[in-house]
This record gives sequence, C-alpha cells and structure tokens, in this order.
Amino acid sequence: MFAGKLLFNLILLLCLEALIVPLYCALMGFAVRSVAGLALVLAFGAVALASTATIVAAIIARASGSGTLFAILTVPLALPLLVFLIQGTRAAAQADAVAAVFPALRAIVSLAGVTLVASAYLFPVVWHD
Amino acid sequence: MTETKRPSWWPWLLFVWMVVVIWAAFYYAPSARGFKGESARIVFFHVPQAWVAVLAFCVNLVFSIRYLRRRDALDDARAAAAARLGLVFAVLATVTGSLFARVMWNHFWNWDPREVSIAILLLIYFAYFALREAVGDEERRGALSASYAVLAFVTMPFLIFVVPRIYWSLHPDTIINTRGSIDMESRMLHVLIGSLVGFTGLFFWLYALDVRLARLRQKHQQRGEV
Repeated sequence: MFAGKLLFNLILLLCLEALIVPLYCALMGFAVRSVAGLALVLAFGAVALASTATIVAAIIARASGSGTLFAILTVPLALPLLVFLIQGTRAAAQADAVAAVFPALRAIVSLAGVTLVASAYLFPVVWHD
Repeated sequence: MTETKRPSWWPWLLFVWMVVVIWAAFYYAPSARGFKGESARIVFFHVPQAWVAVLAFCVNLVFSIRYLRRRDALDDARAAAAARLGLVFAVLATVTGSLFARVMWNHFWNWDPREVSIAILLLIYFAYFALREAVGDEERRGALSASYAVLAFVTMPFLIFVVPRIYWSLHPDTIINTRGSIDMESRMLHVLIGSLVGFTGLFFWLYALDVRLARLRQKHQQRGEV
C-alpha cells in the first residue's frame, strides 16, 4: 500500500522535474555546469519529498482534513530538505565537478533515508488505525 | 518518566536554585571577552532554554512511540504536555537569541542558519498542535499526532546539527565546539551547569503539573462530570 502510493508520488515528481527543470533553465537562462550533479540532487530530493508527502497525505486523509492542513503539516517538514536542495543546486550551477554537490547530497540522501524508513514504519499505523 | 507526587518542598528548592543561578549569572560569572558589553551573560539562559526544548521534544518522541505501542490516552497527554513545554522553551530560546543578535549585530533577525533552523522547528511543532486541534476523535488524534511527532523528530537533527554546519553562521561556537572541547572559563561553566540543572528541574516540574492536570481531566471525563 505504502510502496504503491510512494511510487506514484515519486514518478509524478520525477516527470514534473523532467519537464519543468529544462524549461526553467531555457526560459530563465539558468546555466548548470554539472548536469549529473543536479540530476543526483533532484533524484534524491524527489525521494525525500515523495516519502514526506506520502505519509503526511495519509495523515491528512485519516484526519479528514483539508488541503490547508496538508500545507501546514508538509511545509515545515520539507523546509530543511529545501535548504539542502538549494545548496546542492547552487553547487551544481557553480562547479563542473560532480563532487561539488556531495556535501549537500550527503544531507539529502540521509534525510531521504530517515524519512523513507520512518514513513514506511508509520504508514500502516496511520492507514489502518 | 513517572509522575509520582513530589514533596511540597520541591518547587521551593527549585525557586531558591533559580534565584541563585540568576544571581550567579550576573555577579559570580566574569565578563566574557569578544562580546559587546555584558551580552554574553545571556548564554546562561539561552543555552539551557534551547537544551530544555530539545529534551522536551525527546520526551515527546518517547511518549509518542509508547502511545503507538500501548494506546494509553495518558501517554498521548504526556507527549502533548512535553511538546507544549518544548514549544514554550523554544520560543524563549528564540527571543533570548534575538535579543543577543540585536546587541551584537544590530538586528533582531539576521536570517542566520541557526535562526532559520529554530524558526522551522517552531513551525513543525506548531503544525503538530494544528493537527491535534483538527482531529476530533481522541484515539485517532493520539495515533496521528504521535506519527507526526516521530516524523518531526527525525527531521530535528538535520535542523540542529546539519544546517548550521553547512552554512556559515554568525552564531558563536556551541558550548561543546566542533573540536569536541569546551572553551569556557571555569566560573562561567559552573553557572551554566547550574542553570542547565535548574531549567531541567523547571521543565520536569511544569511537565508533572501538566500531566497531573491531564490525569485529573481524564478522571473527571470517566466519571462523566465534564
């Protein structure tokens, strides 16, 4: 159940990124020097965001709450991720080497890992309560 | 973490202890070098408040997990009480930090990584209470808010330890610095440890009161009086 919902959110996010990021770069003249670095940052960022969004959406569904509550609960949890993603994107734009994004990537991968594990454990509790 | 009834001298001892800590913070501890005026003395209040906030969120996590395992309504009340106090102490730490920032850097808010981190932490635990308010059913509220508390807690180390170390920060070195040592004059350290003990005692006293109140409320509900 959790894997299916997570996969749907992840695919949706990756499709949106594949569409929006090149469009943004072309229209805004945003040059990326390390495309591979940015791709890594975006991929792991999507995993972290999808796992947070999946579990919070489940909480909202069980709380029979509104979209406003979803924003209230998700935004604070996604903000630390956003901080690391901004740093990773900046590094990818400024340096040619993929290694430049590694400090931010380490934080993103760790955050994605703990969020994914916590969400996977909590989902049955939330969904079947 | 049991809420056994403490003897009545306990709050008085705490009161005397805190009075001594406040006196020592201003008269026993020497002035710190490298700070404007006597602004560094705020460390004796700011650091313990931040410590108690983290401690409270740890207590919140413990009782949230316990609620998910045992489904005891009192565990939910304990978790909520800890989060409430954690939020109060986090706000106090933010306010004292802002006062220090105003003296040192001329602005109450400088968008420093530590300021951003604590602002996000406040938002997370405000959201926790928004969720609690949004759910009417007691058992469901307990389960959902406990789940959210676990999620919130796993994010916390990134806010406290990672974000301030990735970005350059105006914030002075933490008490236990990145080299793993404590660079603090011994009398200042005495006062800081005294203050940490005092604030921790204050937290547990307030926490015990809050839980006693929740327990009484629960008893009244069971009797159908409320």
